[in-house]
Amino acid sequence: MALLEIKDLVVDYGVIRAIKGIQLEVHQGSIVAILGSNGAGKTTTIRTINGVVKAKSGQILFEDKNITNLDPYKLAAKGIIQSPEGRLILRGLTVEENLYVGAYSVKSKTIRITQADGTVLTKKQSARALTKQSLQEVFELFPVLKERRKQQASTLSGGEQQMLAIGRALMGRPKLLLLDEPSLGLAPLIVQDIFKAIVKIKEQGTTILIVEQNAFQTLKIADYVYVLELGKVKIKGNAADLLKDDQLVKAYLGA
Amino acid sequence: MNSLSLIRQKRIGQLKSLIHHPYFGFLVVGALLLFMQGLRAAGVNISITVMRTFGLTMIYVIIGLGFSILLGYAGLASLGTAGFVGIGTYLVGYLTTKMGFPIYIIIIISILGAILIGLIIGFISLRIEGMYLAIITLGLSEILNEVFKNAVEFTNGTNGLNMSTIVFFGTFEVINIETIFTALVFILVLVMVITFNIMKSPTGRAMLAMKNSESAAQAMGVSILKYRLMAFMIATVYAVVGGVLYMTYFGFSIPSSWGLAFSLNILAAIIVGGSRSIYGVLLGTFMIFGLDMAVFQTINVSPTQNASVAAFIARFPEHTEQLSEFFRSLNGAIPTMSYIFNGVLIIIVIMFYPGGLYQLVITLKAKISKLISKVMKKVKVYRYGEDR
Ligand SMILES: Nc1ncnc2c1ncn2[C@@H]1O[C@H](COP(=O)(O)OP(=O)(O)O)[C@@H](O)[C@H]1O
Ligand SMILES: [Mg+2]
Repeated sequence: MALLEIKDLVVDYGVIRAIKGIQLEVHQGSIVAILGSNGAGKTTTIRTINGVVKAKSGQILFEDKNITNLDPYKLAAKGIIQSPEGRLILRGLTVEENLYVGAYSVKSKTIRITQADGTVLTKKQSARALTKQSLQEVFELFPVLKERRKQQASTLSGGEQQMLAIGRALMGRPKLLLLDEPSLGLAPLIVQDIFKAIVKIKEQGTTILIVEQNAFQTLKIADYVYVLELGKVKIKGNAADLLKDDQLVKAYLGA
Repeated sequence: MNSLSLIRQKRIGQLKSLIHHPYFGFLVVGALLLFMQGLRAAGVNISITVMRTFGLTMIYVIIGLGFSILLGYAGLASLGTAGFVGIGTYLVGYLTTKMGFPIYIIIIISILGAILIGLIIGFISLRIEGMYLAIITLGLSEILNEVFKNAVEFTNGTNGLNMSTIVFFGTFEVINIETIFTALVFILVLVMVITFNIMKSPTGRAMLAMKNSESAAQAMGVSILKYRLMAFMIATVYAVVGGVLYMTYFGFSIPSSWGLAFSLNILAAIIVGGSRSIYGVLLGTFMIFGLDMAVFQTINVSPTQNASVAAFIARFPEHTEQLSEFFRSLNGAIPTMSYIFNGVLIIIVIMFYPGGLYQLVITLKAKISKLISKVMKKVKVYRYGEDR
């Protein structure tokens, strides 16, 4: 079952049609990548899923429910959280405060544990406890954030800011994490660190939809790939297959 | 280690965690104010002017705390504070003297009314940004001021409205200023605790996110609509309740008190003290309002009223005329000195300490503790030798 399903999505900016009817599926537990050059419509797709931009027509389903054009805060409560393009860290706040802001949509929840003898235990986890747990997890993923927790976010390096943006999104405990160009403007070595972290996030059970221009690196960590061109899906397929097809990669991705 | 010293260690630990509890400071502030009142009751010579300065400043702190959530957390500017405080004063004045409503009912009514006003302004704020929003709220406040002047039936117009009694249990009771002072202290501490909890809650964080970057906040699931409305609601409730307290304590409200100058002073207090800290608001309000009331308004250098000035003039018999004239006009100018003082203070703070004077206090504290630990190290080296 697809966690996220996009059907015939069309998005306009005034008279400009940015997305011209695309189909897309994201399966539970996978990393799906949207590749394409500048202006292809990648950010628009992400922002429409996240409710920041409204769809003209088409449908977006999440866990089989229609979520098209819901407001972002409702989507966050459902478990869709975005780490936006250009990071948009909160410059006036400390690293820790930034992370706490990310936890803002977390609600307390009851979890059911079925024991060996068949009885069901219910345990209530407060929002505060969950937030503390997420903070620990984020610090484990990005130890540098822990070192700099009291520092103003504006004093971080580019790579650290990207880690903060991803960490902040994780604080909301997403089911589906939307990443918009996490490698933007970063040195290759740092990009590798970020991508390693993304794989770890997937391994811990979060489904990821990532938008990138850095095609080669992304193909290495993604399971399934869509290539957008001028608002349409040009190619789709398993990342591993695409990686083997040199011609294709060269032609469409310039890698 | 024996059990006695273990117990002592535990006690010290408990004491430490008590002192570091966030509410501890608020309680200390309350205790100091009550202590001052106690001293006066015990016969220590504290003038009524000083007491009133503290009483009114407490009320302004409450109003300022609401404003600090609006400005410091949600990043929204308003110059309408005075109008809302004015509403509070007339509401309690009218409902008490003309209708005989008990005070707690009036407080509930004023909170509900304030929520409604806050919602309306919040909705307006969705369409208007920054400076324009400040101007719109200023306009609203000036309209309210005209209403205060002209709705004589409710406000007694430009003569001002008096209120010397309040209703508690069905009967009018003469206001006892000492009792109200004590009540104000408790209310202030309560409001500080509430404000602290708002600031540290997800609501406070969502507002901070919104202030920093609306699109980032939205990406994280913050509803801009909700928090703009919430911020204005909170600030308006604090202001209207502040007005109710003002009237109950001071017993008199006049439209000229609720003009732009008051709104600007609240803004100045928050900027000078620090818009994101409760102690900053406390500090700033005492600087802006307290100093004005306790110092500038009480200095009197008129030669007929100030003995030392008279003695000074007497030493120059050939210039008596000019000197008397000089001191007389100086005396007339002193009340405006507080404006100059406030203006200079704001400029200095904005230029050097954008986080407010509270930031300066924190920086100084860090510097001093660094210095102390350095000195302690030197002392240790001196006493035990280099290698210890
Ligand atoms: N806010 C906007 N207003 C008008 N046009 C826009 C806006 N944002 C993007 N576009 C246009 O939509 C198209 C897709 O942009 P975008 O989704 O940002 O592409 P990508 O993220 O793939 O670089 C581009 O032609 C771009 O110029
Ligand atoms: Mg983009």
